[in-house]
Amino acid sequence: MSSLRITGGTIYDPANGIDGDVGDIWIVDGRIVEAPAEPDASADRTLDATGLVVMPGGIDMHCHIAGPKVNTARKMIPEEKRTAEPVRRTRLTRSGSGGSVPSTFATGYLYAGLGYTTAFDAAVPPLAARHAHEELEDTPIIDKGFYVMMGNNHYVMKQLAAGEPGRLKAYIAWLLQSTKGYAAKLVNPGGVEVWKSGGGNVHGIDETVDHFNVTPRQIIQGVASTVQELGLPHPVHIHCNNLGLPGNHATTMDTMKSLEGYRGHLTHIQFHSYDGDPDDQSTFGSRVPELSEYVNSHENLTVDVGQVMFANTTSMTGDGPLGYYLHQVTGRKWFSGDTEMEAGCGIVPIVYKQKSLVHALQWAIGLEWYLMVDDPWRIAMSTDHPNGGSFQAYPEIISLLMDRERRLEVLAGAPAAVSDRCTLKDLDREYSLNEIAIITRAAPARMLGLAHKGHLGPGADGDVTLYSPDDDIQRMFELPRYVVSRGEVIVDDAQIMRDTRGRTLYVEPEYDPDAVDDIQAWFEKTYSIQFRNYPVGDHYLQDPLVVPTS
Amino acid sequence: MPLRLRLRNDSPVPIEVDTVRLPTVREQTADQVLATEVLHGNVRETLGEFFDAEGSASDDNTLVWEGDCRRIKRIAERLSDGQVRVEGTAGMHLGAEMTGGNVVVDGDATDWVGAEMKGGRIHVRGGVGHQLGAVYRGGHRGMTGGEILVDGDAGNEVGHSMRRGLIAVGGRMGDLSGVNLIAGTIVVGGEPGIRHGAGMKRGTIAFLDPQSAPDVLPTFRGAGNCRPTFLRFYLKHLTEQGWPVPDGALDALYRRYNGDFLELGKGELLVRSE
Repeated sequence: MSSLRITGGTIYDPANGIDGDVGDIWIVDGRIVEAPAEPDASADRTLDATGLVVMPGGIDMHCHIAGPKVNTARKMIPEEKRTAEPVRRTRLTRSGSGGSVPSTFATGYLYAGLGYTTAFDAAVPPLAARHAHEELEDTPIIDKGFYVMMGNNHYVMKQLAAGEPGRLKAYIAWLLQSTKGYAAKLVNPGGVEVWKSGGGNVHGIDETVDHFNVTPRQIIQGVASTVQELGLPHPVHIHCNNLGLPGNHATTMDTMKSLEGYRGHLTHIQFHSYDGDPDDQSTFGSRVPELSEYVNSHENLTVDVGQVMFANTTSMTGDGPLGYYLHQVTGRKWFSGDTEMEAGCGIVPIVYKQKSLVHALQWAIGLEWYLMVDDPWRIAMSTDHPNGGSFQAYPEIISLLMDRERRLEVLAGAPAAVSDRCTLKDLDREYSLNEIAIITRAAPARMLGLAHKGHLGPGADGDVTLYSPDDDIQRMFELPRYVVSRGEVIVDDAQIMRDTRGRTLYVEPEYDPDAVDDIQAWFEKTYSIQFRNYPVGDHYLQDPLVVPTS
Repeated sequence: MPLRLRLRNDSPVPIEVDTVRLPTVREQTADQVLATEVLHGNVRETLGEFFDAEGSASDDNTLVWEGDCRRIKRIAERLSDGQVRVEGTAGMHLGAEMTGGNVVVDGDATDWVGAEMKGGRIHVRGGVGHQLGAVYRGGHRGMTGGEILVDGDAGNEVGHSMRRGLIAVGGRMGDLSGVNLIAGTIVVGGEPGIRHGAGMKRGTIAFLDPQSAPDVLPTFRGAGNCRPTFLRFYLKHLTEQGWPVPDGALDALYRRYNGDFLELGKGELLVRSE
């Protein structure tokens, strides 16, 4: 039995209503426990946290860190790898490469170095699940999992068109079990299939998907309701149609309205909140006020932001036509992928510039979202790493949210028209440390249905981050004083002290075994691999943890 | 008197000397210079393991590398000011990413001379390898300024994705010179290879040898004959620099081709026709 006591820290644990109270935290065998009743109790190790800010470990609920698209991006950007700060080998840790798409081991170290202890890859095609698990195995320290793309899956669309909700339910459960995935993800539902079959796209949720006789609306509602029936811990995770296009706010609003009666999570909502004419980038603007008002008044919805930051980065998406669009806009190199009956993929390097009207507006629109959603429990911090920026930019985003002056300084360096086309300059709100703890820990844990994460109450994972208060907020969050994972001090003063492996989180929803015959018959007609080779075996999982369905 | 580094121990394993930088070594004694850490394969060693040093760069800001340095990589990389001379052969990445100053090589150099160079001048009296003034793999912009003069031959992909500047190759030219050229000028004195200017947007590739006109890609279009005034200025400048301008090139008639029409099509090939 190993124990750790963190004494005298200023604790921010919003899930348990603790907002800056001084207290102790006890961790025994990796889990937080009640402080022992006897006054002279001692722990194997004590951290003196006097004067330090104590929060649960950070949770990134939407990033791209594993699987073939991430690996392809790594190979695609030697020019960035060459100039990025190298990650050197130490006695405990492996070497790696940095930049916008760090190598696997480096990804784990960098997340831990920021005080993040959990991260979810947001877009894995089922066929790539094995690869994703293999890369996650090489992503140390953090706990992790991934969402399985099913918004353009042929079997899903066929069952929706045929009015077979039972088969759909069995398939989604079977697919999650086969991939050892965590949640159901929709990426441009229907649109990727149209792109793959003929180079087009869908432009609204009531257009019909060629050859399948279903609409994005049917896919969204069908999967949302099925996920709910299966009792998955996380609701359907939606990347809406028309990402990045001026004027896409209408599609986003339609998608939100279509979710009435269901729970749903809209991801990287920043990319879906644009005003303007789709054929004319110069008409670009913000429609956050009306979209955020809708979110504020509809408790069935949660969002994460997908903040854009000014830097070199790499766009990687399951939204194949979006990759092509970005390639056309930027003129940069482009990778396109087509995963059999399941999904697509597009990868394009991109530079977000403060001097660009569109890019500066994207930056401002992301901040508008953080500042205009009233209830921080329904908005999570994300950059859609690496699409809007690297996860390494989180401390900078925190400083922008907590300091209005800093936002205005950046805005002053952007084209003047930015202020006319969004409301950022009028937003006075500044986040408190408690609200930061919500959007980076407590809220994502709650959205993901992770009862044992995102808080510091008894039973929670012993994942704790301790920061030294600093007037420079960015520096405070960039360099945590200590990071504790499962009760072990992993980072001490920016040094990695232990190389642990982290757990794989997944779900095992039940399904009717008789439904597998139909899946198998379809599979054997259409896939390039053998049916029995498709499910990911248990031996691919590292220290797995099944998160229960309700 | 310059600082002179004489190669003593010719290891078959390449040595990377990007850590030997003029602004630093000109403030140092010869012994301090020899203590500079260099990469020998994947092992860190000191420059003194391989070189002898004499003199100092403190007065004339000049560094001389002496000997067969074909396995000494990254000489004068990121040079910003001063003179670097190689008395012998230079290894890969000579003057890569340099922003100013002068590099002169008495003998030959190898691949990646002046890769992604931003300013300054490199003059190689002998020949060079591939990717002269080119972009590194994956990047989208090669040389963005300065001059590279080669008296002898050059290999493939000269000026790959070059954005600005001048490259002159006196001898034979390999294939695909000016591939993906964004802008800038490439001058070829000798016999050219194939597929020049493939993917070029703007810029000029001039072929000065009337005996060996290159095959022009089908995505270029003939655009008449001319005697370009700017080329006369360039060639006079090259003559002043001691680069071997072929006889009669100044006043010759050039056939002009526009391309590459798979891209912007604002580039030109000038092929000497008399």
